Amino acid sequence: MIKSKKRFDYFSLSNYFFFAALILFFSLANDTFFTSTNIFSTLQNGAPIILITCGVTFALLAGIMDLSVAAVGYASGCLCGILIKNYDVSIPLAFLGGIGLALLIGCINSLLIVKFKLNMMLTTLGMMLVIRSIGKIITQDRTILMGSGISEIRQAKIGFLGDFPAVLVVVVLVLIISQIVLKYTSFGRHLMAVGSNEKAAKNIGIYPDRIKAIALITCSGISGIAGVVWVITLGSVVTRGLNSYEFIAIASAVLGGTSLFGGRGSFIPGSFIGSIILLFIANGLTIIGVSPYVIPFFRGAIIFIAMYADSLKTRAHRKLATAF
Amino acid sequence: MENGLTLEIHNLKKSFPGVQALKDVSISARDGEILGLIGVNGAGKSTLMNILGGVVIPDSGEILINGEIKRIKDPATAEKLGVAFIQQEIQLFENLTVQENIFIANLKKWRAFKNFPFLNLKSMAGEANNLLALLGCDIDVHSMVSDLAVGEQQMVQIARALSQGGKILLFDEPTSSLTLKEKQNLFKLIGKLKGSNVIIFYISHHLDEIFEICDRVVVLRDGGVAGEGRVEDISKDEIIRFMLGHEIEQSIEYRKQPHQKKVLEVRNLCGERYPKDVSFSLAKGEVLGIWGLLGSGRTELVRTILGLDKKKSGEVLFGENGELQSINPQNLYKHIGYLTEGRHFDGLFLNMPIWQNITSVFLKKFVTNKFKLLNEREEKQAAKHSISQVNVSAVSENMLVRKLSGGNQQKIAISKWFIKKPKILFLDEPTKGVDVGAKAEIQNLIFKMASEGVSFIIISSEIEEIMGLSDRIIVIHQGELVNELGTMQISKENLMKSVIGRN
Repeated sequence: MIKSKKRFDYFSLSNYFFFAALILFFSLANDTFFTSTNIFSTLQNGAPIILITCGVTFALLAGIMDLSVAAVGYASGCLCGILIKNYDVSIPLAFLGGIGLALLIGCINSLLIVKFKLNMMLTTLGMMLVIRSIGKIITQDRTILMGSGISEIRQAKIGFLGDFPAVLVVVVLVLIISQIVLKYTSFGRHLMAVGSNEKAAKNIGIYPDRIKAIALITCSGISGIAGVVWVITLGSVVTRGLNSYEFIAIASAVLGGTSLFGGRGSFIPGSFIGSIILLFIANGLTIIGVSPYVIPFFRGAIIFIAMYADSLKTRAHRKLATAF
Repeated sequence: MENGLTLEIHNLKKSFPGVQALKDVSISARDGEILGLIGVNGAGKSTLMNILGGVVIPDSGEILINGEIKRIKDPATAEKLGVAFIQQEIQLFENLTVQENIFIANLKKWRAFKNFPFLNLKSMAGEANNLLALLGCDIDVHSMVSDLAVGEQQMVQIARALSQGGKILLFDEPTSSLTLKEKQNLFKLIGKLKGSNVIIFYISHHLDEIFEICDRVVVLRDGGVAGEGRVEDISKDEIIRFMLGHEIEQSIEYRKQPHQKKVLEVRNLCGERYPKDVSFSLAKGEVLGIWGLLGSGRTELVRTILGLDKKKSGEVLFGENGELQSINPQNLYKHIGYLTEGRHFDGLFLNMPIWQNITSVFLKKFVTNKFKLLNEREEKQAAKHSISQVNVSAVSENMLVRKLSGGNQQKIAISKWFIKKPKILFLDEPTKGVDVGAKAEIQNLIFKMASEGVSFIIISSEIEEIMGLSDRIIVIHQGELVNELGTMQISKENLMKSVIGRN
């Protein structure tokens, strides 16, 4: 009888080691890094990117690369800002309006990609250009300063959670719900199945098109929430907001162990740890006085390292695949 | 020492995480010998071939070719040493032509001018034609590989191995996707090669094939040599005993007569190309065989019924208690299961663990609480039970499916349907690549489920299998239903007569 021994999997833990080393390094390098003020403000300012990473992970799990996520967030934020500022719409309604727009774009995306079978990269790239432009048209490319209502929400803290910022509660909730959906619902399992082998999924009676459409709409919806959160944390709608965040989000997801080809990944720890690694690298480098021009260089380098670690992991898998 | 080619394998060992795939295997062979290699799934056959082919590096042990120790560290080295490995799964470049595929490994040889990278396509075509003629198959060397049938692709793969001038040929189940005629051509060729100073390893689950073409047979079990002998001196039963370590349990269960109630009826079904105007019905608890040669449209018939291929006209009716009603594929899928032929390609989620693969077909069963969340523990338990039914008990249900051997993957692919217990199970080649022991288990399970009222539609290329399983057989030829044989009429002659002479 052959027994399958459980081996200690170093690769799946590499991210934690790396993150711990990162925190340790910056904490030793500068006193202000490891303070609750810095940590909370970094997380709060990074909330949009964590959420966009979460959204894009949904699409990636189904094997779709959605490049429109950051633009969706931007457009939702713009609409939300305009509704409050120019049309005196109440704040909750404006939020819903922004998220509604995002869901609508998600529907169009899935219509084009799933129904009309257009190439996913080019479709979402086109969509990114179109909705960036829409955002600029409705704001006339001007910065909109939000009123006191928004800054109150930004400063809101949840008392019984130890004064946890309300914005971060949204992030945590989205992450937890996403992970539960992925791991413990039929939809989540079907999502993994479709990303893993679409043909096989179809043959056992799953409808891949339906799953992919839901994944794309969810992806856009969460990006819409990210847009609203972006307006809240910034207190204004700025031009060129969330610029090129789609790539940071995809890199974060991959850094967190999500496959670019679908069928492998997670929200917690995956998307979460991936995005905060990139966030705290930028933050730490800024604190120790590295020039802002150099920071993207480091981010890029980290992505290379992550990809290398990922390829080591797949290589280990492949070795096992030839077993027997 | 003689002059001819010799191959010796001494004390080869190889372990993978959690599994000792080969423990101390020694085999020797000499020129002109055809060595049959058999064993149950996971016995170590493929590992042994992968080591000779340079795909896998052994932990210890030696390989001697012509008395010299050789280290085969990668496939390129293997090729230089004259080892040609014809793998079971087709590995060709779909978007290249047949001749390009045949010579892809040594295109340099085919340069028109010595130092310019232009290819002499004409002489390539000539040589490719020669090779294919040797194999007795008639394929246009300029056609795209993606346009060929699976059997033809396998032939191209064999031609490629031959073009490399291999002295040691490794065939890993080469006949699993060949038609009868192609198979006979291949055997003829192997017979020819035998005379020309080569060593041939031949892996197969079909004992008949081993007896037909091999000189000697080596039986592997649990990573070691369990027995060997010349084919004249060894009997089938002995081989099976070596393979399993015990006798096969021939539990021929008493089969209940199928019910009279119909569960499925197909009326005048037409697809894009195949099927052509096919009508038949299926009773509750009945095992219906669909027999036909490769490319006859038998798979297309099933796929059209299930709505996976486009239906042009015709009707599919389904009913649980005898009252048939027209049904669309989406609703039909709720009551059926479908096991595809190409398990790697479209039957399994290789990156997912065994238990998720098994429960994927019937997640509804594991949604227990009010939040509609899945109960992982129950899922794992059910998966465990279901894999023990087909004897994959040696592994944990948490293992990724990609880590399993081909035969074990097939067992997972089929065992997942035992959880759903559908009304009708469509099985396309249910025991392809599965060892003798598991074959018997799968067949017994089919009988057991049939007597519990599950209906089966089974496609198999193996004439004995389909004869043994089916209550009734319909014969498909060029997309049309050409014959129907009841229990009393099922015989090899009748089946072959139905399709031969119609070409």
